[in-house]
Amino acid sequence: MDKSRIYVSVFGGDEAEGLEADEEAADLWKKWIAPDRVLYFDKKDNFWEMGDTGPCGPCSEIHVDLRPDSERAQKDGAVLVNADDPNVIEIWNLVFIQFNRKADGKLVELPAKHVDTGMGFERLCRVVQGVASNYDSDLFKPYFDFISEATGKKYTGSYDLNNKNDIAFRVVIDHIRAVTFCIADGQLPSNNGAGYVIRRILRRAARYYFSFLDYKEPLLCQLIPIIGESFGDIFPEVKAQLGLIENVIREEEKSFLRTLDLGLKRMDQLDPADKNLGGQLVFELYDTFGFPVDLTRLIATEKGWTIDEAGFNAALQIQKERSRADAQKSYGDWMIVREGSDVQFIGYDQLQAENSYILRTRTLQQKGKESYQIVLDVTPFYPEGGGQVGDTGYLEIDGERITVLNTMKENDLVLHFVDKLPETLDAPVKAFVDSNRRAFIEYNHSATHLMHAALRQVLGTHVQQKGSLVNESYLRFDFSHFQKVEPADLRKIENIVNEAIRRDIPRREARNLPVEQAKAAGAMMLFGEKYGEEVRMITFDPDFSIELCGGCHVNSTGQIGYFKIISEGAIAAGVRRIEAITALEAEHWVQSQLDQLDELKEALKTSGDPVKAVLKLQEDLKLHKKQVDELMIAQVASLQHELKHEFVMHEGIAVLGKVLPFGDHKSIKNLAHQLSQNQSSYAIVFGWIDSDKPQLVVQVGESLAKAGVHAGNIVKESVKIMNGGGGGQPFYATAGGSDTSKLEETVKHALSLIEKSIQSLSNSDK
Amino acid sequence: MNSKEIRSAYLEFFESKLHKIVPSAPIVNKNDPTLMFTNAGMNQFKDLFLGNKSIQYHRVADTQKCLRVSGKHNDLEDVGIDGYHHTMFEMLGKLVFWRSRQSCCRLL
Repeated sequence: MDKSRIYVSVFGGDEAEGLEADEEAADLWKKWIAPDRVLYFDKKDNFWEMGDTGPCGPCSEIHVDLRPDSERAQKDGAVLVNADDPNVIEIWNLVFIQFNRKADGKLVELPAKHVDTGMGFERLCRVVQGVASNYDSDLFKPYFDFISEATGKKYTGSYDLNNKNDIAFRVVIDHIRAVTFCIADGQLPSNNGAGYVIRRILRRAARYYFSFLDYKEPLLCQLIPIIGESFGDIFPEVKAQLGLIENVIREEEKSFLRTLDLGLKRMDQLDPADKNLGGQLVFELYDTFGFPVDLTRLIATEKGWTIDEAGFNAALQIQKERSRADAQKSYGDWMIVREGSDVQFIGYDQLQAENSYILRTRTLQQKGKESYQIVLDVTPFYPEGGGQVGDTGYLEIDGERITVLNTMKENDLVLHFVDKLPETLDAPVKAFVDSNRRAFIEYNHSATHLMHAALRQVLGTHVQQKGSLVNESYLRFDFSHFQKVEPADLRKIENIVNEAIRRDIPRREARNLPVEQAKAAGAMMLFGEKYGEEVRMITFDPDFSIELCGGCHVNSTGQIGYFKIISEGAIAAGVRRIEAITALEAEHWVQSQLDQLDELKEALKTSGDPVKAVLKLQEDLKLHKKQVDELMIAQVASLQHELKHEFVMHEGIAVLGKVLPFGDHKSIKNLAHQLSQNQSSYAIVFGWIDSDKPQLVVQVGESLAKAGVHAGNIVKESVKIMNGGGGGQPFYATAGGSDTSKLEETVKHALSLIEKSIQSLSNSDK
Repeated sequence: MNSKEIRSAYLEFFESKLHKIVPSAPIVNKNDPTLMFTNAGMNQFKDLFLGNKSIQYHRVADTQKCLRVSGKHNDLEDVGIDGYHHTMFEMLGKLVFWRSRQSCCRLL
């Protein structure tokens, strides 16, 4: 690289932080580059921090001026450094890590100084290849070609803010890389946390191609093979999981494109006052249909509307504050009790530690509650990881007993979540894991390995772990597979696992095994896991199950006792979930199933085969039902004959009200219909009891209904008397109640309502 | 040079200068509540810097998958607008533990 195009920046100091300018770096640079190319910048540009807390320090950046010579001659590149010029950019950042930013905002010197340098690879490619932007290097070219081909749109390389076409190309290409690598590392899109961030990025990309490349089908999923190919040698995880990633992204796109479509339809229905879309509506589109506000604005503009952005922002703010208040955790700083590093975990071999010491403690605030964390130098407590839950138990320190509620990992520290901090912090600690609970966790964890092996035997080697939960009561295992696992296959899997349990296979465990050796042994490796150079390998029969795993396991498989799958289902496109139980839980489950069977036999009054008994019952029931129906028809026929003569005339209208001794909806409806044949001015009210519930039906003739006597309203009003609800059409309505003793009163009330209506109709005629 | 050659030239150069080439950590961060996604090459060495873990290699180089979409480093809104910001990018790292500025402030 031409030195006349290079500038370096150094930290200019910060009074508030009590930091001086980095003259050491400046002096060093001056040995290699003209002094006027060494520039000083403040904390914003030259003090690097990874997050709100953590290791940080002053930095020195190498910037490169990529403008053509003519422009360089006109304007000194030094004034364009850190000034957002697209052609004068930072390429390499050298961070002198020497502080730790604490939660209270203070800087503390680290035990040693380090240098951390990072260079943006995409920018380097741009510079080395001498192209106009990162996107013009060979890294990105295949994506542009593919999208052009698919959408029929051309990319022109314009950075005009109004050129949405070109922006859309770049957004789609950038975002699909982000989404793909996250999924490849095991994070599926979801509704919260990291999964939600990924879903939002994916939707942002979809909205760009939908609106600006005018492409209405899933596009992102078609780009995955390009990523797989171009990163095949350096990040093989994409190529190895191509099918899964494509499926997940396609389903995400499909479902978003559907809601996008629904949202557009919703907007078509709107007719906003003053052609201004209210903030609450804009928020609804955002919240329910996943419409980014700029999409809503775009569509609104097309319709000649404006949108109330202030109102939208207010609604958004309310929601954000609500979720922030829910999620806010504040960590205090660590209180260092004792110097030391490298926490020792002894929980593979021992469930108690006799002589540990507290290294540090921390207090955590969440939703107004305090909780406490302790780090020990030596601990038998397994921290949550690899799907296995953290251990619980207690600590004894200076006679005081502290309950350990959970154990988790933070980077390489093991955090014990405790109910209180001990009075004495610097005394020796005895640590006891709840060994009973741990044993059940181990059964489930080892069973997970056996099941993983069985799944691959039965379904195929495309089965890859996508998620796992192991606790004391059950195991849950998510894996890639494209269709439902058939019951016969589930049974095969159970049989293989139970056979492995009966073989009582001893656990073979290799700690500190070089990772290459583990690979050679055929161990299953998971994508998205960070394996060190040395790994722990758990083997239950080298021909059956070999996994790299940091979790806790049984000594031999016989301890698991019994394995039973209790559910199988889908959780995402191409990802299935199995839940299973072992040992005591499985025993209880089987017992309760058998108890149910016994109860069933008892209820069926059979000691033989209950299935046969049930089938026979159903057969009998069918027969009886038929007989009842026939009897009912005969009864209704005779009732009809009697009732024909019981109509009473009111002002020329035939009215019948009666509590019937039996009936069901179908036969009563039929009866009312038969009685009303050849009449148009009539009203019928029936009450009866069906399966212990009082029922009411009202039917009125056509002329009466037209005059305004509404069967539905009469039922609605009357049925209240017997604690019921319901209604219906003007001609025919029915409802049920709950108080059978009020049935007669209800029928009478309905009748009186009808009579009153008739009376008032005839009065108005006169 | 195409991009693959550039990446390997970088790693080979530092390997020849006695740097241990280490693999990228996963892009999704699992064990650090302060960070959702890996946003820089140094993340996977955080405990080394803080002194919670002892150092195995003093010189390390790698290419790290990074994602800058949340928290302190968020480039999402710039993506598409300019030609030099990405959400996902590779960071070529060269890290030196327990060493001074001198080991890095130089041009070759």
